Amino acid sequence: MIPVLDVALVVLAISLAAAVARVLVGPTAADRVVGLELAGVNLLAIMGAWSLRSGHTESFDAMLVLAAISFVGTIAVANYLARGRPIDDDRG
Amino acid sequence: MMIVAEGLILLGALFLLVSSLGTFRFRDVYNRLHAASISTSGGSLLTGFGLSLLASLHKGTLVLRPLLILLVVFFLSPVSSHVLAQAAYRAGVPLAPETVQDDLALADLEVSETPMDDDGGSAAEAEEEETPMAEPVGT
Repeated sequence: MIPVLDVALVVLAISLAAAVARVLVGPTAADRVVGLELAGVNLLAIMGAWSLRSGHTESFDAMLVLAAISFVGTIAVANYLARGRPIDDDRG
Repeated sequence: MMIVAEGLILLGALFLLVSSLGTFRFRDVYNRLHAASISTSGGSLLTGFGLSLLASLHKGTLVLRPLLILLVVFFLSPVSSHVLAQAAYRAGVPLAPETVQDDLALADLEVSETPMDDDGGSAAEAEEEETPMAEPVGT
């Protein structure tokens, strides 16, 4: 129906493959977290383009949940890498 | 109008592709964060505008949800990459061997070596003033 969206989906699939490859080969844990964050953003764009292409705009809610979960997960893993525990509390 | 929306989506997808290729090709966590963070902002913003415009054209009403979601990504992605760079540096992730200067290590060295000065001078001035004073006290 819309060929430009198909082209965009192919481009985003290549981009997602590169991000997942960085997750797989990344030498340190921080490399993997960078790849996961980038894969999350690519998945957001893929879900948006796919929902417009198929006409089911209900998956915009899933996009919102994925964005929030990806951000909180990145912050938690960064705290774990820097301080040894995922969530900061004042109990030491 | 449809052409504009599709062009925005395609341009955002190309931004994300450049970002992912940079993340795959660069040699350092910090270089990869640079590639991942900056063009992710542009890609998410362009894709959000394109998706919102195309959905509005399809439905006939104003659809703002994709733009809102990708605006959230636009504002939260610099925060998470900043926190991640700090965490990687604290966790001791090594820099690339081509790195010529590590300003953060130099700053840590200066802070740990020189005591706090009250006259507001720079650290180098304080160090020059401190060393003649410290020798008689030590001997």
